[in-house]
Amino acid sequence: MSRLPCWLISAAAVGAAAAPAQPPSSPAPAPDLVLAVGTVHPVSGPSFADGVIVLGGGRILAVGPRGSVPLPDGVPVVALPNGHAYPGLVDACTDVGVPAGGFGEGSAGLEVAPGVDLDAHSCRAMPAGGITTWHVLPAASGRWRGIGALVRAGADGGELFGESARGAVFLRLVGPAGQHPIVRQKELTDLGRPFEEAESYAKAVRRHGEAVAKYEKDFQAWLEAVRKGGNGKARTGGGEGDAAAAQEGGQAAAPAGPKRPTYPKAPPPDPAKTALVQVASGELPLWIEAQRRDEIEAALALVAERRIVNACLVGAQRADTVLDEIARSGVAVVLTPSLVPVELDGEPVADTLAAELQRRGVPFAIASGDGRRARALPLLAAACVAHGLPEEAAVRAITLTPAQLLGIAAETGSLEAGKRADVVVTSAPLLRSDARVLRVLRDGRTIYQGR
Amino acid sequence: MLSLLCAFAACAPQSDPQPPALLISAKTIVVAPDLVLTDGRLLLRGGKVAAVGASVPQEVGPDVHRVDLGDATVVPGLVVAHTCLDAERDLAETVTAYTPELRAVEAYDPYGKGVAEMLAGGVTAFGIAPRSANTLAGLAGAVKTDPRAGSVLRNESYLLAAIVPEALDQQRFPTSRMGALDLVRTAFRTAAGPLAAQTPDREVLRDVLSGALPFVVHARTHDEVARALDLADPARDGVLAGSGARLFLLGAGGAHRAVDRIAALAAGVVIEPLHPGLAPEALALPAALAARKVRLAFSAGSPRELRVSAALAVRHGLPRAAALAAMTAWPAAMLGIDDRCGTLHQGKDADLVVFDGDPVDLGARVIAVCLQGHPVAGDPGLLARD
Amino acid sequence: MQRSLLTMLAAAVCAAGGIAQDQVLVLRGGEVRTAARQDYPDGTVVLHRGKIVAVGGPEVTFPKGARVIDCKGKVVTPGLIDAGATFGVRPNDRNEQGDEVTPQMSILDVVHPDDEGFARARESGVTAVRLIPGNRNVIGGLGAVLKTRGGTVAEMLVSDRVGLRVAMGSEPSAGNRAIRGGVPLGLFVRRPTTRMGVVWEVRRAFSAAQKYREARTEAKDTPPDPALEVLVQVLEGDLVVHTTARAEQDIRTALRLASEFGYRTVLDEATEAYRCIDALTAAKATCLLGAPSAEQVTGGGAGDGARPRWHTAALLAQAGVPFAIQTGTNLGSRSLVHEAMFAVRFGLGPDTALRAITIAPATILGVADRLGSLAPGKDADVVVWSGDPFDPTTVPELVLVGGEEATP
Repeated sequence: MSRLPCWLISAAAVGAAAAPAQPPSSPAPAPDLVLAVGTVHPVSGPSFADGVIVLGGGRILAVGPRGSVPLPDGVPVVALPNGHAYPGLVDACTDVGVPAGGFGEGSAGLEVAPGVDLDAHSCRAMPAGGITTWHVLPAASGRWRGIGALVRAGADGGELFGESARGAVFLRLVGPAGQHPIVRQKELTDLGRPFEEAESYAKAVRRHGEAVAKYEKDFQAWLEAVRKGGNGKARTGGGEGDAAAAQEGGQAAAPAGPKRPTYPKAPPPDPAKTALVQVASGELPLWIEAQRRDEIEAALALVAERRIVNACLVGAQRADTVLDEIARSGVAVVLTPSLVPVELDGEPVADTLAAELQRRGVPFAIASGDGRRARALPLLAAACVAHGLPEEAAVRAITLTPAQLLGIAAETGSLEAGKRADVVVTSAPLLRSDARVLRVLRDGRTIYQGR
Repeated sequence: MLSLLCAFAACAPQSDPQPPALLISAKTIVVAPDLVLTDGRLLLRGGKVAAVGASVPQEVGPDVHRVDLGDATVVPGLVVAHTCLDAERDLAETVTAYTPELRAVEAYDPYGKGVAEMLAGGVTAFGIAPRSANTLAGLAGAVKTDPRAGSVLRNESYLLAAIVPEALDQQRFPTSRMGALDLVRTAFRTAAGPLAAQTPDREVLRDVLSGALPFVVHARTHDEVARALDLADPARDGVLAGSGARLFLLGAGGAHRAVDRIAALAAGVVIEPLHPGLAPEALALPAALAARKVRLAFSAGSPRELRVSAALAVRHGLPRAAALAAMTAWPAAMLGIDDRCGTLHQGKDADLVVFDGDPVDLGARVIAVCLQGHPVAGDPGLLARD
Repeated sequence: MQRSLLTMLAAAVCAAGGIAQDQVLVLRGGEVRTAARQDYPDGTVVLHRGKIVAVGGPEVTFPKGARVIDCKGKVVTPGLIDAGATFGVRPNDRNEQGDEVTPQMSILDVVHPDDEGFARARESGVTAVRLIPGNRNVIGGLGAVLKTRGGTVAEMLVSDRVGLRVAMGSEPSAGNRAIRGGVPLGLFVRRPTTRMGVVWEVRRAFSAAQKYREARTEAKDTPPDPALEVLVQVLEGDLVVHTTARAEQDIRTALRLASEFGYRTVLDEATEAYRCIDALTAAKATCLLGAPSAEQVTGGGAGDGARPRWHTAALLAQAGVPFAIQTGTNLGSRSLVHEAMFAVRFGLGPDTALRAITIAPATILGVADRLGSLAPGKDADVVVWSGDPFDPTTVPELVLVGGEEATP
């Protein structure tokens, strides 16, 4: 239970890498806003009443009960005495921003961030549901779909998260309905082959790197040799001069020394293989869409075989049949629970997945999967509470855990000093049906104010 | 002791004629939409509510078992105003569109799929209705979610008519909504006429005109709702105008522009199941109707649909008290069973549900369900002898 | 270019928060074609509270504080009236196919105010339409006239029970199959299956209506029959029949039936009217001429075998047969003003053409007291065109329905 999954370590490393480069010794930004809220739910710690959040420069500077946090002078205070402050919600997997035709043909290296429709109506509606960050599913065809995009909510539309805005690489193992298990079994074999090809590609890239280093040395040596020995003709003529001189005067004219080295040919750039190399090294998370038992088992086998440290199952509707294996494997899970009863292959999907995963210590996030359900993300979490999930775990599953799974936990996901100022204030505890979103801040700016 | 409890819970209470007398105390007891007791007490005896709140005597006698439910919330058994459960074929009579005399209770299977699920979810009574496959589809009845015979409370609770597209059939009259509305008008005119024959279908229509039987019209889009309201509008020569008829709407998802007219002409609205994919206006409609004091109830095929509809309606502005009323007192009144169900006033049946939170929140779980004094679902030990 | 003018004009109108109901609106300086007695080359139209208050030349006065729109270089006409609108009703709802004779059905039960056809009609200058049941029934039901602007039927309604739809030709019998083996299987195994059957159904219905009328005058306790009540109204002259008739034989049949039972009828579509002008003048018939621009009849009426000609409108005008132009049931018929433009191209006088899409349909549909021309007291349904309406490059720049701006 207290084992720290390796994905968390690497995710933190990735999070640090994704953070904008801040010189370590820059002075702390000046405070520019204070939120005085009736109840604060930091998620990274216990909730407390009569709390104060100090924001400045787009970051959270301090969080705590009123007495313990000094209020800076001359800074405007927004008082919401009956409000409940939460971190901005993070939707781990949704199709908000996917353009009408999808993203076309998928591949492991397809970065969908440039293609996200940031002005779509669904993007504008996200702040009203309390969501400040979401992960756009790469809705493309094929098994290897692409690399999802991280999007930040804005007052009028979305914005990409940082320069690269890269989420996770998606691998889809879910077969069509009605497919015979034997046919599916055939398709689930040999999932590791792209990784092998990526490995040989990585080796080829490394060899090329070494070859380039050698070329540098050889070129310098040749240049030296040309400068030292030989006449002016040889100095300027280079290779042709050599050949001409060789033709002219035989051995005496040709300068002794190495031939001019040729630049080594690079392997053709292959974004798919590059992405898989990054998955293998843990730099990019691998998210595997699997619903049925055999799909989940194939996913876990792939993760074990290729020793992928940063892996996550998406969907996992039949996870209740393989809970122990999932717990042992160290992968995380992104659930997309439904408010209406759902069936898979004619059997109802269990409602207790979230509670069971939580009981076994498997890290999991609750995501909408679907733009329309994104508006009701807290209700999806509340529905899991009715089937045994503790309330704090449900709130965590839509804030800090998805941030961790996406490698951005250093930036957002909880109300802690140093993180970005992403705050949602609701009129009642988040999972209550009548909780209205009062105010949403992202990077310290108000992007939504409810009535 | 445990096996005795389980046996007790499993055996049919009919063979155990007297349910236990219980004195229940809990943090929150919702007796009625306008009466909520905090740290209140409830006395159940003989399957009925014997006393509630201040009228519960201090000394209750040794035969009464005291149950302290702690922080739980006790509400009256939930009532769903309209459901077809999962009965596909038996509730859809499509050979002819005019079948006002058919009764849905005759196709009700108390041991069927879905009934046990209803009970486990806290629904203790519901209106079983014919499918909207017909223009004048038939009579809905009110039943208790009880697998024994004798669970039918009323054979005839309301007459259901449907002008939605699924009630039109291109293979029989009517094929268009013009025909459907003409059928409804002609039916009522003929029934009201002096020369009407005394047949069962005309009896039903006359009961509607006299106000003895509510008339529920299934209409979804804005124009369907407008035409349904025209039936009761004296300014549009509605066949029901001027009579005592009580018009209810079922569905009405597209009616956000007609809220004032609904408030003026309809006696209530039954909301079809809500889900996040609907337009925001449809999700905000219950709130708009409640603001105009229109009585609401829900249609649901399962207790989960009921709770999700209530949660989404509250999320879009419906007050909590109105949502709870729409799940208890108001549907009971509409079904005509409010003498026995819908609230926990003295003399009503002892049908109640224990939640670990507010039933309007999706996070609240059903802890126990009690039907006429007998614990029937949830934790059997909770309400049994302690 | 014209688009930006439209937005500018609309913006100018909306600048003060739209046209307030109480504010007087004046359209001044344009060429005003009233479709009434007189046109004004430099005309003024004054509108107030949804009605036309005054129409005249530049000398017409108006109160201070009125909103004046300069229409110099533009043409101002009454709002167009399309008697043959086929939008506004979902396809299945257009005909009640449970029975072939359904006179009591009313199209108002199935009007869909959010249909985008209404917006497209406004865009082309049409401010009022007739909606009536389709031609798949022999006797389809009652039609109505509605404005093209409004969110509910009550807001849009101008007149209901405007006419009873009767259809001649092969469309009503299309889809019916003969009974074979004595056992009917299915709704559409029924009469009529031929033109003979169609005419016979009409005769049977009206004969029944005549008997019902006699029975009702004699015995007061005859049970009321709503269907026959409608037909009795027709027989007594209180309701006009709109008969769809395309081919020449159908036109002649329609006129013959009308004279046989003594009812008033208007001919809808009248595609081959050019072949029977004599019958039309003899019967003093009125036509709602469908789609003058058509090269062939398409859609449901294709089976009638009618062949259209482009000069039909001109012939009708020449012969003195009262007529209006409608878009009709042809697939791909153009907007109403373009249909009139075709008629002008092929011989119809432009004044007559304008009347044929304004005051003529209003008169035929019985709403001429409110619509159809620019005259004081009528509804403020006005269109301001960027040029001559029958010029192909002209677009409507401002469409007013009941004095309210109706930009879609």
